[in-house]
Amino acid sequence: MTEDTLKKWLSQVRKGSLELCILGLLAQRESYAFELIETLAQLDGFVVSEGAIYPLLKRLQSEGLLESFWSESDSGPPRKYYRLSERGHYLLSRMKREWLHFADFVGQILERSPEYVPQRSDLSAQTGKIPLPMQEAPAPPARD
Amino acid sequence: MSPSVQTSAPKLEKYLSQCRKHLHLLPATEREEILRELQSHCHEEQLRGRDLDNVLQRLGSPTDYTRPFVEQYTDALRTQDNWGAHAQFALRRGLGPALAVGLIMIVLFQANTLVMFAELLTHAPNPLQNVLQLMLYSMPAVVSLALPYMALLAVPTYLYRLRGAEATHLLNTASVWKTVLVICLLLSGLGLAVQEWLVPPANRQTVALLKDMMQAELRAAGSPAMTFQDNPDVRTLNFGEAARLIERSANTPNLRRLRFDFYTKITLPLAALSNGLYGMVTAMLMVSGLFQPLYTLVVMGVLVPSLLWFILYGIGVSHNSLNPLLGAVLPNSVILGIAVVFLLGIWLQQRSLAKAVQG
Repeated sequence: MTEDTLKKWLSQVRKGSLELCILGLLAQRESYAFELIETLAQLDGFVVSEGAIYPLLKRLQSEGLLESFWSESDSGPPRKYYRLSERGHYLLSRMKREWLHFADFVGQILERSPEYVPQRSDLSAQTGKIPLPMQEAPAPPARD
Repeated sequence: MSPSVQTSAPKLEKYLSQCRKHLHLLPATEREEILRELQSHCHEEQLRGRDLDNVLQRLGSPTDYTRPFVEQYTDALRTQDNWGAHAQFALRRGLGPALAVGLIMIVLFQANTLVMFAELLTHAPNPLQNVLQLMLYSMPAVVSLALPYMALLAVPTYLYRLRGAEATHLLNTASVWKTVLVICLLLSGLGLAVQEWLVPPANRQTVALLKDMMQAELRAAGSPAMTFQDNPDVRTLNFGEAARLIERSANTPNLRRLRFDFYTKITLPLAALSNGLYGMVTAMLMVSGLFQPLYTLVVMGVLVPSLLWFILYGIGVSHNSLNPLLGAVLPNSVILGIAVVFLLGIWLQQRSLAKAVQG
């Protein structure tokens, strides 16, 4: 049950940061969509569906954040490459600032929240999957 | 820019052609670019040894894959106040159905004409030639009737294709109203031009032809030739001639009919305007999903207003005590009134929802 909730939340977080990740990757070098999918898939579980990425790239392009060009590839049909436009670079710098600020803020909340020690044996069997550092905490409140 | 690359997989070709069909609302260059990128993607997957069936399954059905692109396009069109783009979109999407309905009407009316004069035609010396002539001469009258109908169909088709997630926002874009107004003004203008320049001479020819055919029939039966009363009909005159006729006929018994026909000559083309507004109501009904969209378009959008129009026209023609001007504008006014009532209702609801959100 908790696993489902966790997965759903994680998927939402990833969806929300997809645009930022794509802009960030394209800022490093120009790339085509399939390459972006593969790069993102390197993060365990960050599987972007094709149905999501192609419309997203198109939208970013029509908003003027990306530029595209077709390039011949030696192994078959030409590929559509994307690169960041001037506006895209500017937006990325703004987003980067906001993201880091936000991450800092959330990080502080999490730092101040007490560490969790499982009280029930069935929960502790599950927590084995979650890589959280377990610490001895002074009398954590009993949770259900 | 290379044209769509041929691949050897028929399954991929089929998938691409279905996507192409679903993307038909988009301009050709955008559509082809999307499809080319899709092809490139499938190629990349196959290079890495993945099975094509698997890849296509992951992409989803053509409907699912193309939906976000179509939504993006109509969203952008809807919110952007560029009425040139709207007009092009309306032309591309509304023209087909409008022409189709025009064609159906032409066929029905021609068939009706032929049936009415079937008896006369069988006794005519040159039946085939007369049939063709009759059909030709009745075309302007049919076209002037079909033009307001086209507004009933073109407006909702254009608006329905433009719908997005928020249906009521359709009416908030100025471009939408401008485009509908232009469509209706064009159709009205065309209708008035047809009434002025094409209908009168064509009707005169029809009358002459029918008289000749009747004389021929009498001759064939051995009866003496008929002399025709000179009964002037507004429908064989243009606006100027008709106005002068009415002035001359001040004390004749058929003055009322003459005036009614004269006013109808004007209000029939202008029906495109009231029909266009009614078309916006049809569009909102289609989008609301209350009935199936095609059913709404055909029944609520075309059959119901047509029936209403003809009933009210009948009342206007036959009620001798009813003022001819009133009788002539009655159908248009009622359709316009219904449209205004509906649109007002939608506007009030939107306002109260907006207030609820704010408050």
